[in-house]
Amino acid sequence: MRADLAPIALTALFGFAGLGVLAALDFVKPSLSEVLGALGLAYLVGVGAVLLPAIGLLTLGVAVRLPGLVALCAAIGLAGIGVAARRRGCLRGLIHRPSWSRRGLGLDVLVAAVFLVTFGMYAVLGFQHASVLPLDAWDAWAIWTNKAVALVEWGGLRPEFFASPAYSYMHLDYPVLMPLYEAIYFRAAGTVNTQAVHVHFWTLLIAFVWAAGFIASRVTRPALWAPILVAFALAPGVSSQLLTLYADVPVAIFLCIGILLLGLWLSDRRPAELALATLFLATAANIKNEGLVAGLAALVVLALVVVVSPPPQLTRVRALGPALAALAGFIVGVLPWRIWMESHHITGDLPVRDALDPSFLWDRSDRVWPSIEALAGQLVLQERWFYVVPLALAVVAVCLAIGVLRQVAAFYLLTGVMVFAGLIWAYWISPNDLGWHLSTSVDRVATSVVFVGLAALLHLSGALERVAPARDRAKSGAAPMGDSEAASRVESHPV
Amino acid sequence: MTLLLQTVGIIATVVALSAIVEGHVGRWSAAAATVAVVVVAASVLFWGHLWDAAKAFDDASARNRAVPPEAAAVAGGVAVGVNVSFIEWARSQIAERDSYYLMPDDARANQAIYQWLSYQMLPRLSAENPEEADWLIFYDAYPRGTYERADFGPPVHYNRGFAIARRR
Repeated sequence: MRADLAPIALTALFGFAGLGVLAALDFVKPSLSEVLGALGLAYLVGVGAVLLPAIGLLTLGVAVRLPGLVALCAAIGLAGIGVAARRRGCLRGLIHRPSWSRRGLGLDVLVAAVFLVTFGMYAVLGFQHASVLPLDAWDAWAIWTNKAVALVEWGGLRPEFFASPAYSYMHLDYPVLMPLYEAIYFRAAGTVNTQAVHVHFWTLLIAFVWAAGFIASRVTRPALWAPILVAFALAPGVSSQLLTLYADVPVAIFLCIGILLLGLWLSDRRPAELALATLFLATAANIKNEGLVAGLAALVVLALVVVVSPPPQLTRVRALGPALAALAGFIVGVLPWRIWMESHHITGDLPVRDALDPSFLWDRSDRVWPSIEALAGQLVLQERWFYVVPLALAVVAVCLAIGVLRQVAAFYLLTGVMVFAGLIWAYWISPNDLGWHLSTSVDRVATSVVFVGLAALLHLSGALERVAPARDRAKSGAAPMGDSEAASRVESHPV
Repeated sequence: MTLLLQTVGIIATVVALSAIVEGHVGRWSAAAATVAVVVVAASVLFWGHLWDAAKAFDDASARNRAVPPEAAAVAGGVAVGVNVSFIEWARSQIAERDSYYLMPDDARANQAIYQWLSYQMLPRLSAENPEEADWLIFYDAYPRGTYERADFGPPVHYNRGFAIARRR
């Protein structure tokens, strides 16, 4: 009974904490429909907002057990709601409602409902499947659940385990957010049930679809985002891989939402979007090292884009301010684990200090092309990824060609390229045999690149859908639409 | 190259659709055609794979429901060919606060054995060397002559080649 209720209780706790954060940031308005729509996002925000400070506590030597975690969730949720309650009224005008909610698009919502209800039935089957799935994927038990069981046993980062060479096989440098996520489930369930814990991960995917739909609904009509999202969630590269309990899909989930929010911030500059994006990217960085590199890449690209193409009313330096603030927030989110690693003399597999040495890189340059071929080879396996990357590339190309959200399209394209390049760089400098390294990881690490493509697809498809027919523009005497106009259309011109 | 071809194929479809809709490739028709291609592709992929995906989940659920929880808990070890019943027995003999050292070197070098054993033995910790261990675990080895008899008691056997010895 307790094991059955544990995921529900944890979902509610994380959701409450996340709703507090969303309310404090004015990201949701205080209405039942908006709160219900935001529950998926609230869950993911709650996971990040609770587990990042929990990791901070762990690195300070504080044991994180269930009562402490419940208190942390409650404190974050209540504090957020308190902040929102104090501000309520003065910022009401800034609250952004889903654009489609104003349209009364009955058929549009009906089409989306058919997809979402069908996906809901599939999700229920997924829960049943996840609840009895044995934990048998190697890295799942050797790395992630291994650390989770240790956290359950000791509540903290006992160096004899988390920093011992005897356990170096489990990648001591990998951050502990995912083991903590599992450990909390085990504690709540009252037992280390390695079958039922799969439900905790399936919840992540459902929350992701819900959250991405909620965010996308601000710029995209339901009949567009719903099929894209549910088809993608069905793709074997996502659903099957997630249930191995490897970290690659969880990283990609947080990365995707973070990058989508960065893209939205580029088009409308709402501080809440940038703040949430920073939280999501820091969460991804605390799941796996690929998340750190990808999150950093996204923020560097963001800074580059705003410097190259600042808003008309701002200087380049002033335009850079928010991006630098996000970068600083990201670094603060990443630092506790990195400091703990440093203080326990833990180093990763990758010789990062040599990684910018030209002679080191030149000596290993024969590793680059096979890595590119292998990684690109994964992105074209469409029975696994359902054409997300080529569709995203095509959408980006069309946006660039016809001048719709060019800056945002460039951001997604460059971020995807940088995430791809970051992975190639890791293979380039890795001391491992390249053939073995590629064969054991390239199918998984490609996930992040695909999820960046999904973010682009969700955002830019919505922007394209709002491009008015030429005859309508001629009728109204409007000039050809530039980036800023297209961006404003996304916000204010229902189709 | 394949990725490029797939992308070009989608763009070509967009261009063709756009030309059909508006008579030429205009800004609006290109945008509308792109959206149409994305939605149709996503819809076809979703409905085309839904049944198989759902059935795969349902079949797997039925299969896995028949697996007893005790067997499911060690499925990872069984999958990599480790003697999980011996490790379960060793767990029952060694106190949770004690540490152990896996012997012989062949077993330590075998990643499947070493990693699964250290996972299944938690919270008992793996020591870096025999001198620091409270117990020795002999995995597929005959203990005689392979360890300091003065420091450890006589081996207690689970079955042939599988034994543990406690520090005196």
